[in-house]
Amino acid sequence: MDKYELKRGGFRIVLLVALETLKTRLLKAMFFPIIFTLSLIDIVIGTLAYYLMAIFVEGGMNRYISAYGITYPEYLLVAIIGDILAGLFLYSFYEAIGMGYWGCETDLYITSPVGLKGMIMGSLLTSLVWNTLAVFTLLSFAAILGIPLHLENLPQVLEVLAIGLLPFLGLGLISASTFTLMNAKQGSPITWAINIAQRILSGYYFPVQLLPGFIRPLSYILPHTYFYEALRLAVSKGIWLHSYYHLLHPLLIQIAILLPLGVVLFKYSLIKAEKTGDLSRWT
Amino acid sequence: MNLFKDLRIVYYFIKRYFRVWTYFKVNFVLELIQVVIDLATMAIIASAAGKYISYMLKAYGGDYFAFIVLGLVCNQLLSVALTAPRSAIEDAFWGRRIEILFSSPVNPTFLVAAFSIGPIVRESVKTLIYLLTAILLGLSTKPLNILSTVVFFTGFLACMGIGLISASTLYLLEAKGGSDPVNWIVSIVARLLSGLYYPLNILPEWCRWLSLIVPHTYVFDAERRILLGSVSGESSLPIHSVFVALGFSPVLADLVLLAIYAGVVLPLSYYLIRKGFEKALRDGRLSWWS
Amino acid sequence: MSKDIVIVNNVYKSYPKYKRFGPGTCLGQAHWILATIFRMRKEGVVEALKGVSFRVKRKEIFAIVGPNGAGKTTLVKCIGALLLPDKGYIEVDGVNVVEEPLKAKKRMNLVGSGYWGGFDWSLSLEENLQLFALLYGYDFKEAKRRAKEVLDIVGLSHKAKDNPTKLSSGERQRLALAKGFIADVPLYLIDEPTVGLDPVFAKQIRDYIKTEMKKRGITVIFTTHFMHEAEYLADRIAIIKDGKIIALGTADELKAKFTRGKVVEIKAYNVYEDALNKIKSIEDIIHIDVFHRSYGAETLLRILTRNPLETLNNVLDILLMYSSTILYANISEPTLEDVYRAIVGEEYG
Repeated sequence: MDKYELKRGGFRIVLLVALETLKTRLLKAMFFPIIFTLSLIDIVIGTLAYYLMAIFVEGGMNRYISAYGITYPEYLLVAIIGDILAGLFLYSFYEAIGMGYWGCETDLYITSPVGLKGMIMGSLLTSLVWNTLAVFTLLSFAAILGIPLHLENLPQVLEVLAIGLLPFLGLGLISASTFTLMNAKQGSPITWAINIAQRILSGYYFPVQLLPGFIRPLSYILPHTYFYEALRLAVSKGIWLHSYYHLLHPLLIQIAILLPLGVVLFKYSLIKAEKTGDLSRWT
Repeated sequence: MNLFKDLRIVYYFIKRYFRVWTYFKVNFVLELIQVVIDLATMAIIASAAGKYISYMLKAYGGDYFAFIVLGLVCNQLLSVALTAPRSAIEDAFWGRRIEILFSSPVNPTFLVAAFSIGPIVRESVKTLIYLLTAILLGLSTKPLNILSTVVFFTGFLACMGIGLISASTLYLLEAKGGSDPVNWIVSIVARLLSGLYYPLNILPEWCRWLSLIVPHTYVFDAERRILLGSVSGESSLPIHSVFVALGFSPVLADLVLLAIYAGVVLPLSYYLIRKGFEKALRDGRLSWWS
Repeated sequence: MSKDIVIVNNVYKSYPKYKRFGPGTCLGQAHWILATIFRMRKEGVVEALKGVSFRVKRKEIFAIVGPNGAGKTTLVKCIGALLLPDKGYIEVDGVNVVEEPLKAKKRMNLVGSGYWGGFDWSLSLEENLQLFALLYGYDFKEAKRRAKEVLDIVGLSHKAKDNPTKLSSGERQRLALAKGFIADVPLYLIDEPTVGLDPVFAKQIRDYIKTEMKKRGITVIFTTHFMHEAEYLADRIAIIKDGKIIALGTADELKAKFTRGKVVEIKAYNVYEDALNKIKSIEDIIHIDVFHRSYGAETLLRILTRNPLETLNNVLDILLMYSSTILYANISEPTLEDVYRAIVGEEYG
């Protein structure tokens, strides 16, 4: 064996690097614990603002969401939490590359035998920790406000998450590939466009039926539409996704298209970056 | 201070700001589209729920869509007044440009103001698009008049004062790792308690008293009364009762309070920002890299 | 009009040393902010300047040299009104820098070293320079003309429409110099003018300072690590160490005052540690520099000594005693670098 060959198995080294990246990122975030806590409080405050708005318009909105058997504030809260969970895959890959690039870390990883895999995985783990923390904070906040959490429907919710988040994984990989393929270094236009569209089209603030007729077909393109719907039905009525074909089938089709496309584009973007030096800030 | 020469300097800063803003063209277009989409979302919610809640908006004309649009429009410009001075200095600080700019024979406070104009112009452009879109979606208000302009301008000055105080914390308190305490508190109170998305009468009494610490509360109340409801009418803020007893209308009360707010905050902010720069020059911490 | 353009009198400057609060303090930044308010964060001071005094004549080129951390940049920034001294008096062209900084800044131009030099990536080189010209009070037309002119001087006119991100590090230094030349002021403060530049361009810049700026009657105060640059350019040189000026004068004055000797230069193979220790104990030696090359096989000794002939004989005897092979021996005049090392007390090798 070449004396410079890595002594341990490839994946284990990558995992070690990923855990080290996670540790570094968390230490950085926790360096000012008050700021870290305030960031979580910011999420709660933002949600509280929408919650109060929801209470204000509840009288008018409840009749449109009676099919779910929940109040309008609960309807909105499910969307807010669902958005955070979807964001875990939608934004994390792009953020991993972006943070590494702007923090001048990519050179360090690229010039090592491990490459970028460890950095990307570490960033994903960091996003997972942060998003989980954010969701738990919101759920605790909801419990304090007396909003029922419907914990008895947890298995159904987990099924929705297991299947419903996969299209976002594909979209997240496509979005991350724009960093080098489209030179989109100040935010991915794909994620941004999807985010803007989903706020109005996916049933985030109001049921899709309230949209004007000519726009409504657009909402069926977004995975968010099916994801929020499935999540609400699972939370409020304990309905299994696998029994609800008109939600399951579109999600499966989207997974079949977006996931392989995302993987291919992302891999291609990294290969291109290697050739052009796009991820290096060493000048 | 030669006004024409100084305006040329401002022109360059605005040019620079817009170059940065439009450099990423797709993001620039998406930002403008977002303005339209946000409004459309509000329009749909307002049309769905509006007639069930209009009785709670009597003082403001009863139209929830107009209520929220005015709030968002005012908030857009007030927020930029709050954040522009600090983000301008931070941008020059982290971009390693602050020393070279401060070594020139230009008053540092003027430089801060010049840096801040770019974001203000940008938000004004977005606000215009906001209003045009809202009109297309059915917004109906009374025409703009001198009173509403004076109220808004006074509120803007008050927020600018808070923005300069926030900027001074960069050096006075060395609050460089994220947001500063001043802006953080003001933005939380403004988001939750100033009546941006809903009228204050749905909040408990102690929240309504707390809302008085930010200028947004007075601006939203006054602008909505002037442009949607009526200048006089029932009080919505706890402090109105004091002024109404003296014969003032709620709008006039808002204007007087805003004027007092701006009158206190502006000189204080000028003093603090100068102190901040002095401290930075004394400690050698004007720039991160020396 | 006073014949001195810069007067620095008894200037003291110290920096507070602040505690950093990290994860060990759970309040983190809040603790930091509160401690700043209640002045609890200071845990000492770093004295950067201790009673510095000197004067610079009009149209003079004045060099400030010293080791890293000596206080050169602090001194230049105090003169340039980017730092407030704790004590003392600084005057530029008759204006008190501390009391009237804006008025003083109109009379000088500060040129930093390296990196961006404070340039904005969103504006082209030309536009960046036009902005600086406007900051110095020129109108649009004049600002454009000056920007073109200085880009010609520094050899960057072919990149006038590019933005600073497209420049190499040497080109960025040239751009920083261009910024310096943009304003017509009587005093230039330049921090390391030729750092990062290739030898050809470095010489061009030095020649420009020595001829053009002299011709225009501009006073230049610059800091540098290169003794040959200070010797070539400067009318007078100040050597600063630990915040104090330890020597001030022309190059010849400094050599005469601090060396009073000559340099014995010897190149040899196989110079061992024992031989070196014995050489270092010779009495007349003021200062010795040892340079090893070829993995230590070849050694160059530069010995500043009061008694060159005797020292040469003694050193040759020692080297031969320890079986070294002498390649070359010479006696020459000391350079400014020898003076600097003798004064500052650094040894290399």
